[in-house]
Amino acid sequence: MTTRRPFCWPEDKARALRRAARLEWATLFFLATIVVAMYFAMGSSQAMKAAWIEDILGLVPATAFLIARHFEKKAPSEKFPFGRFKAISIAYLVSATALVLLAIYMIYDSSRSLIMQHHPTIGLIELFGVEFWMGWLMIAALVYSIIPPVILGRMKKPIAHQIHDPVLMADAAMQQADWMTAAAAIVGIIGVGFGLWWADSAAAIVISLDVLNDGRKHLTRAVADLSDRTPRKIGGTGADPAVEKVRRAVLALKWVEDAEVMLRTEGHIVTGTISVRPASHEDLASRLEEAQRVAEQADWRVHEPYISIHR
Amino acid sequence: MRCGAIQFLTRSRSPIAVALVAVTLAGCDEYPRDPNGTLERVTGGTMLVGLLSHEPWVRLDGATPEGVEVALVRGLAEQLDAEVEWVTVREADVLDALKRHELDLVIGGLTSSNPWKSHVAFTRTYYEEDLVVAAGRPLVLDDLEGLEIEVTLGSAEAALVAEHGGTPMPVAAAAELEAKPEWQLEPSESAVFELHTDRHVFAVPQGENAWLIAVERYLSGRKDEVGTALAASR
Repeated sequence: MTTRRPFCWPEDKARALRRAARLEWATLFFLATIVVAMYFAMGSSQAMKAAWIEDILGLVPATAFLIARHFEKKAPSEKFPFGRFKAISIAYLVSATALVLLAIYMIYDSSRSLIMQHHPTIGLIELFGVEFWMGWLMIAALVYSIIPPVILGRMKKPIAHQIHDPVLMADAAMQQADWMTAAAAIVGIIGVGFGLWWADSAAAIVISLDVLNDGRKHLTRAVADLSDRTPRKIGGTGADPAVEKVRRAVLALKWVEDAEVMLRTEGHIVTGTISVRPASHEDLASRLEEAQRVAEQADWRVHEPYISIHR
Repeated sequence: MRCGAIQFLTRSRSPIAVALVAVTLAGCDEYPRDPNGTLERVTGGTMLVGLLSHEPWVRLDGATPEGVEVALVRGLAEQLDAEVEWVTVREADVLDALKRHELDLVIGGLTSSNPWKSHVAFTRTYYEEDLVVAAGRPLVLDDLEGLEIEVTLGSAEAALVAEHGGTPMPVAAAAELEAKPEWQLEPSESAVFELHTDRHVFAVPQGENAWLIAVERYLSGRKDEVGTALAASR
């Protein structure tokens, strides 16, 4: 019974990964406080409800990342000879699906409240002996809900680039854009204050459409990932430079006349098949080993690509 | 890490913009506003008030409506220089009319647990009415298991007594314990067990936030006034 070799993270990438995990725990904590604060300030505002749901959704990528890391760390075994590298891709798919489903529900819910002409009722509240319009409390909760996610998102983005993690990247991008959701909800509540009852439902619909768009982008990417698509650059478009690096590294070998690569991502690692045409058939066993070693050295993410011979 | 946070707070204009808007609007007298202009119409005009008969909050047996809440509304109308038009129809119709913005206010012993909560807007609780079990002598009760308690049949107190394990009895049975609102306690009686707290509210149409705030402002701090009126109605 043979298994894949366990994957070794380079020291600096391992450090970044640990930092990412810490940031995701921090995200869970701050989002939990935001969810609680928003729940108590929500009242009958549709826009705040939409923003609240989106904040709950923010917990999904962070949780998915931490659960995936737990499984990914496990070394390949007899039961899972290829290792658990796909855990992170699965986490990505789950997060993206959750986003899309909830966005659809949000659109339905806010459209319904607009059609039914729901007039949000926002009265007085008393805090620390002062009586004031509850709308101000809602706006305060929304402003608070902007700050931690945007800061955390900004901190996560460079790490996501460094360790080439799609879940972390999606999470960071979503969190950085969170301020738009809160801004829309704030505009909705101020509109209600001006007597424009529909401003609230309208803001909720805008927020829901934004979440749906996010979900769609990530769902497409997650499905492509699991369908063994050619690796792409993270956080942008275009081919992943690792593919070309591997091809050139193998071609550089003296005994290789020609080489073709067929690579895919499996979570954090890049693997696949490299097809070589050797100049002669002598010493094949050690030459194949050499080719695999050289390919792995071309980029830190390459792990155990299969070398096949073609004439 | 610190750089990012400071960068965001100083460069981003949105929190400052929000603060400026909030401060300006908070100082404004006419903010928030009513979508249907209720407060503006009522001030110096007519206030349409729907009534639900419920002693002692609203009493409809005389020529004019009387009651604790009726007195409160009269005070509110005086403050707004408004003339009150009392509307008496069936309960379901009155709240339905309020829902459709055909009335400005509905009173009648409404509590915050009323199922119409999702169709009309309730004010904040202006008075908390404790329903208790009263006894002629001081007792300590953990529950009502096996005890006979006088209640008015069909009242909320009857159901509450049964819930806590007691046996509801009609008033004629003259048992030692009686379930009643706290303000109905005789000087010789004391409350020995708390059944429930009714949170009393007024009802206004949904979304009329300036009107709601005006009513809430009037009702705030009148707990003692209500307490006195209830004691007087005993």
